[in-house]
Formats: sequence, structure tokens, C-alpha cells
Amino acid sequence: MVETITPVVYGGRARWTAAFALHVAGATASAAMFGLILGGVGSLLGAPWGRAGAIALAAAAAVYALGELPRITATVPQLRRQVPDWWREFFSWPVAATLYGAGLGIGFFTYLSHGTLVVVALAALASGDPLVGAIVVAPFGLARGLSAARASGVRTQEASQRLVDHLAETPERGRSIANGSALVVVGGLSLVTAAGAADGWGAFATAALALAFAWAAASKVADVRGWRRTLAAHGLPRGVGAAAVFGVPTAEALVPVLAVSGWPRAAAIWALVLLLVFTVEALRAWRRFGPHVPCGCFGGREAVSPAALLLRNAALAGLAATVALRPAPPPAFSWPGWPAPGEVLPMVLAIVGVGVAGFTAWTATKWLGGGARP
Amino acid sequence: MLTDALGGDAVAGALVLALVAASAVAGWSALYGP
Repeated sequence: MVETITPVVYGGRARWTAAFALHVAGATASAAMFGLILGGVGSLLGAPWGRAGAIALAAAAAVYALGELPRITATVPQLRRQVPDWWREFFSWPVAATLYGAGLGIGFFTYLSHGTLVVVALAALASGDPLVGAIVVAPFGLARGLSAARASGVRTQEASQRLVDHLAETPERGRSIANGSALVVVGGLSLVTAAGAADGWGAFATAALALAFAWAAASKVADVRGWRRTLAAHGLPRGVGAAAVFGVPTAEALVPVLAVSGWPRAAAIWALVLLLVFTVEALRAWRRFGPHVPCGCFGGREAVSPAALLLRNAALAGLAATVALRPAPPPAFSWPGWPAPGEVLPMVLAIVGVGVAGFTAWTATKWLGGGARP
Repeated sequence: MLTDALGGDAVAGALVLALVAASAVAGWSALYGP
């Protein structure tokens, strides 16, 4: 990736210096914005989650610290996209350099060899504070942007290729030690924080349930074609299959909506109803397909074993039961009252504005990603 | 938890600093990816 930010690409050292500065600014800004959003989402989900949040952070740090050891693998969620080449030809160089930085700053859209960013992102979420989220995630973008300085001496295409080869051949050991050590420190400090923190398990379980169902719904909507294939493989009656295409993600999305709207118990009971339906369908598919049940779960499109499916549903049901049975945490969000007559027009304009902004962002994301290589 | 960092809690402040360092390490490590 670093070969896209070299003096040879930008036509000389002077222009490269300006492009490099914009690249760093873009990467830092997008990482900070990502952290800000995570902190804001965490706040909506009732974070900070006290002892529960600190223990979850320590557990995640422990898993990914172990993943840095030889012969141990911890899966890192990532989309493995590369920044589209056509940006460089289509946009002016300052815009392209900034967009390249912005594309790399979020991290999860590209390749990640270490799970450290997962732990940092979880911390941003668990902080429940957009400012803290931005403070902890921004250094990822800053360091990733600054790392392109390694290309400052590249004057020819051959030198660019040599740099890429050299980086690819650099042993993993040093980076594993650095990431593992950072994660051990984060995990240890999280445990110390947990010792002095308040309970928080109710709010944490609600947030975990809401996030699990939000992810399940979003992954189906993001890959409707794959979801349709999964439904077709189940051989449902025609009407049921057609209704399930958008009915299932909508039903799943209701869980996080209820949770952030201040009705966690309703969200938990609705989640239990959905899990019951999914389990009945899993058992039916087990009888029909044997040990490989087609699963549209969490974006995965591969057949899974019925035992894994039932175990996962049982774990989610346990989470939902915890939320339903524990005293509800104070709502993080409360509905505003009806607007006064003078507030109706500003409210309508604000709603239309948010809708237009959302549509523009969605269209721009699709358009800018049009040339992305898998 | 982490919000205390801005209010002066020493452990939470240290945790935020550790996360900032971890975040920077992760960012630099990404240079070596594809």
C-alpha cells in the first residue's frame, strides 16, 4: 500500500511532501472520526459499563495478546479492501492523497495483521465518550499515515518495488512483540480498573445483545444477494422465503432499536422470540440437510454445524435472559416530547436534512468504493 | 470507566495512555501489510 504514496507517484519531492502531509491529516481525521462515532454509539448503549466493560476489555486484550504468540491465531475482523487505484487518476492529487489517508485511517476496511486495533476500538466503545474514543483511535491513523514516510527516498518504480518487497520480507517477530506488549499493558490496567469500578453487567449485557443483533441485521442488508442464496438453500415455502429477505433483518434490527430507546427488557424478550424461531428453523434444516446447515449468520455464508448454531443461539438466549431478568439500567436515551407549534418546521427541516445527508453519504460511499478490489 | 481519565483518575489515565500507545503501534504495524 505504501507504494501509492511515494515521490515517484507524486512527481517529485516537493509535491510528495504536501501529499504526505494531506495523507497523514486524512488518516488521522478518519481514525479520530471513527473513534468519535464508537464513543457515541457506546454512550447510546449505556457505556461506560463499569466492571463488566473493563473485564471485557481485559479479555479482548488477553485473546489478541495470545494471538501474537507463534502458532496461535486470533481472528481479526477486517474487510481486506485496498484503496481504489482509480482515485489517483480521477481526483486531483491533493484530494487523492487525503482520500488515501482517510481510507486507511479506519483500519478495518483494509488488511490488519494484529488485533490491537480491535481492542482499541472496543475501548473507544466502552468509554461511552466520543472525545475519549477520538483520543484513543486517532493515533492509529496518525501512525499509519506517518509510516508512509518510509517511502520518502523512493525515486523510481524499481525502488518502490524494492521497498514493498523489503516490507513484506521484514520478520513479524518485532511487530508481534510490540503489539503483544502493548496489549498486555492494556489488559493489566483494565483489570486494575475493573477492581475499583461499579457493577455494570446489566448495561453491558444489553449493549452486547443490541450489538449482536445490529451486526446480524446489517450484514444481511449489506449482502442481500448472499442472504437470498442462504434463504433459497433452506427451501422455505415461497411466501415465507420472500418475506424473510427483509423481514428477518428488520426483526433483528428491532432489538437494538428497543435497547437504545430505553426498553431493554422488551428488546431482550423480542430477542428470545427471534432466537426461538431461528432455533426451530435450525432444527428443521438439521433434519433436512444433515450436519451442514446453511447459515446467514453475522455475514457468514458458509454452512455450519447444527451444534455450533444451537450453542451460539443458547449463548445469545442466555444474554437475553440476563437482560430480561436483571433490573433495567437507567435509559441512555429518552424520547423528546411532542414539538411546540413553532418547532414543527425546524423539526421537519432537520429530519429532511438528516435524510439527505444520509443518502448523500451512502451514495458517496458506494461511488467512491466502486473501483475497490477485493 | 475511561471517562474518569479526563477527571484525574490515575489508573484510568494510565489506561488511556496505554491505549494511545497501542493504537500507534497498531497503526505503524499496518505499514507491513498488503
